[in-house]
Amino acid sequence: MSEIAVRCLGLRKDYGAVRAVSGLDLSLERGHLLALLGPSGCGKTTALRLIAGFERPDGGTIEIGGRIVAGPGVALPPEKRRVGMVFQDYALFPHLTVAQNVAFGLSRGRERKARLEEVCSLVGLRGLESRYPHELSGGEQQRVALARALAPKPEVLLLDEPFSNLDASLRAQVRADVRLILRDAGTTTVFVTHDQDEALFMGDQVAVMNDGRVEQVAAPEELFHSPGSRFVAEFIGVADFLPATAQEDGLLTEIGLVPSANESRPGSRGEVMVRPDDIDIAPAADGRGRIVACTFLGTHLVYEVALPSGRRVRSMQPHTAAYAEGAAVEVRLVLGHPLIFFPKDTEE
Amino acid sequence: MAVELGAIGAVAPASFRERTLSAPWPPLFVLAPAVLVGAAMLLPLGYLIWRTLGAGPEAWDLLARSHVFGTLFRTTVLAATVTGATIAIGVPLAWLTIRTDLPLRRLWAVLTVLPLVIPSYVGGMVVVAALRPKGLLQEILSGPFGVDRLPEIYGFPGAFLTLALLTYPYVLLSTRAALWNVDPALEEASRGLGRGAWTTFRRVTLPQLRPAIAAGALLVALYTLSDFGAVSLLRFDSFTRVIFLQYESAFNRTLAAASSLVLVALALGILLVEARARGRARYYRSGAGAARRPGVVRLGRWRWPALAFVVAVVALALAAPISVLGYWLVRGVQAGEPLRLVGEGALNSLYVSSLAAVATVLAALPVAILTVRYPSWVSSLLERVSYIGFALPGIAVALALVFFGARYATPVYQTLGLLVFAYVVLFLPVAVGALRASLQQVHPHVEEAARSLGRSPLRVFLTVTLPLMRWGILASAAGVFLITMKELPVTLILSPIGFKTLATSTWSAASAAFFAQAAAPALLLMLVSSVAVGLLMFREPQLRR
Repeated sequence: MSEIAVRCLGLRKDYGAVRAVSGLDLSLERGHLLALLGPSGCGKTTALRLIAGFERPDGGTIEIGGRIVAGPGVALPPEKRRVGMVFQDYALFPHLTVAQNVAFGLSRGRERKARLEEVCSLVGLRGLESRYPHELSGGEQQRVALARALAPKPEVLLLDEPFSNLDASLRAQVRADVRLILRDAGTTTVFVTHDQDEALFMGDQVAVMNDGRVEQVAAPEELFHSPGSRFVAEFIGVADFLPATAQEDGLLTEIGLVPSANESRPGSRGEVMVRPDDIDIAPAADGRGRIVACTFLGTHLVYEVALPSGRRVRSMQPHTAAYAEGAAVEVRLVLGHPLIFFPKDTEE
Repeated sequence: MAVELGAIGAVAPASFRERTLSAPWPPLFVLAPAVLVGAAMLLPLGYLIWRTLGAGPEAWDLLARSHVFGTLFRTTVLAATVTGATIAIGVPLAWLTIRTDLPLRRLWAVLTVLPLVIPSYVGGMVVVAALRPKGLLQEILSGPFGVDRLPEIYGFPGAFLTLALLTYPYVLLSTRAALWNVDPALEEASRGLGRGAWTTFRRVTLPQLRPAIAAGALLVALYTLSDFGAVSLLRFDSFTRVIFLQYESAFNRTLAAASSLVLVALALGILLVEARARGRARYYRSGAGAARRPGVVRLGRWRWPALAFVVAVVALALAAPISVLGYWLVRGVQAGEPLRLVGEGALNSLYVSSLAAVATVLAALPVAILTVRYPSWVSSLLERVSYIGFALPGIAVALALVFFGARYATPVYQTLGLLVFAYVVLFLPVAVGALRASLQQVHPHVEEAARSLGRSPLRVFLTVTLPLMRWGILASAAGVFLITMKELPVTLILSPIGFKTLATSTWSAASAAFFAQAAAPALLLMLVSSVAVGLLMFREPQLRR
């Protein structure tokens, strides 16, 4: 069933002269998990709060489960939207027990207790029901927040930087747990993060935001390998850029003619994106590159190489490849890695 | 005037400021009562202005003939000298009891605050009873030393002495809270840069204390301006006494109204000066969290002089009044003074103070919610209006309501309703302060979480916000309850005929020099007030451990 659970069209929100969200378009299929990724201040949290109904948009529409909840003449309050929200600080009710917190959004009735038990076992809170939030660890508090938001079976679950309050050591584990829980529950989820690893790990789809709008929505692999804009290319993973001119048979760059991953008009000028795993280096006395820095990353090394033009590219090498700083190297493209070309004239 | 527990606000723990992206329009169940409360707060002051302006040039003539400038001068001098003296006493005491190896430091830290429990009319009565011609002190001294004359105590010296000894704890408390929060790294940085202990204190520590000292001094100045009991008993013609006499004697009440207005203007002037002086500088520690506590300063050979200073202050401001009252209580009991009357006053006090506490908290809730959760020009205006009680001396509120009640609201005139209304106007700032502080501790995310779980704003307020604010609500109700108990001028003027409280019984006995009769209700009042001070000190982290 591929039904649209959340749709935002031309969403806009201003704070005085500052445009926090400007023309945001999004749509998310039921049961999918969308990561809203972007640098701080890009408007991702505002977008989330607009969907939740804590802020009123200045323009555009929001549709949840086929129902318009915000738009011209419509502004449904948060309690009528059937959204679940998990806050960065969890916002647990400190005066209520775990069970009371989780049951807060459930209507009185016979199913209340059953649903409470169901949700508590789903997130692994059994046995902690009578504790108070301050008696729980950070990871447990997080699960309470999740259970509380899931309990009323929301149309969409919204998570605002849900893992940023956890220790780095705990984060990976909790992240994996939460992903599993959400898959099991089949909940449509939008979650906000500034951490690209988190977004790539969690999201079925990742929406990269910049300056209040979505730059690109794509599956994680696609985002990484064929970024739609230079911003995305720079934001996701490590990338260097080389000036290039498009030709019939490829792209002409400082390191030679390279295959192009996308269509481009011959003669147009622009830049190609090269990732460290695209670039290979080999020691050569007459090599045109020169090693300027080396970063040790455990399993491998990343060398920074200066080209004759002064441009620098990075190259990933196995840890057995030890080159001295200042050594001359030959720089070439790893076979079978076509590069993405960003023509200048379509750039902003 | 609501300065009594205003100090609580001054030492309240710093709370985080929640991020307020945009201000949604407040729900009606908050906005409507808040606006109503704001309007009610404006009533007394508005009426005084209207009444005075309505009298036209006549008001000005009356004022000029009443030597208003003399009164203004005397009141200002009293406020200035008392404020100066309290700084001179309070700041060193704060430093000694927080940062040094003063012997029995903890004990002094508690005892030096306790004069707060003495209402000004009790303090005034004690001074009169002890120091007047043929008073206690002379009685003691005349036997062995043959002293037959003491320096004149009535007028300025008595009023100054009484008020300075009663109010220095305001400066002490606010300074102490600030001293406790001074980041020791700043002092260490100064020492590391080659500055000595004294230079460091003067150039690094003291500047950081200045806002706190100013806040305490402001409370003292406003207290002095609005004080009625001490100046009346000690016959010092400051504004409150003059206004009361004008009100009691004159047929034309315009003069009393006009004088009250001048007094209000003086209080507003002081508030304005303080706000200006505070400026925009921030002196708080950078960064939050559990920081290190500053080290203890060794007093060395100054230990004993310092101890003597502390002991002298405690003896004069606390031990002496209690001894004098105890003496008169014993004499009263021996003479068969009926204690039954005290019981009736206590019950009335309890009753009216409870009414005031409930009414004030109910009025303060919407104002606090509006100003914390829905910042806008409406709420900042309301916030300012709610602080009117700070600038309004009790006597001005009381007179305004007497005039207004007698003319336009005869059904409520001479009822408890009007009296409670006056308390609400005066003490709203105290309640709003405590409620705001507790509401700021409730993160808006918690309310938003409840909203997203399907509850309407009103239900969120009832099931989440209110339960989380319960301690703040309790604290603000207790605060209002206890200051209402001690309040004198409003109670005196607005109480229904025959309604005697602890405060008014103390007052009427003391002003007729029946000290034996006044001692019991006075001591009872102090006992009750010490609960308030206990609460206040419980909030001081440096005393809690």
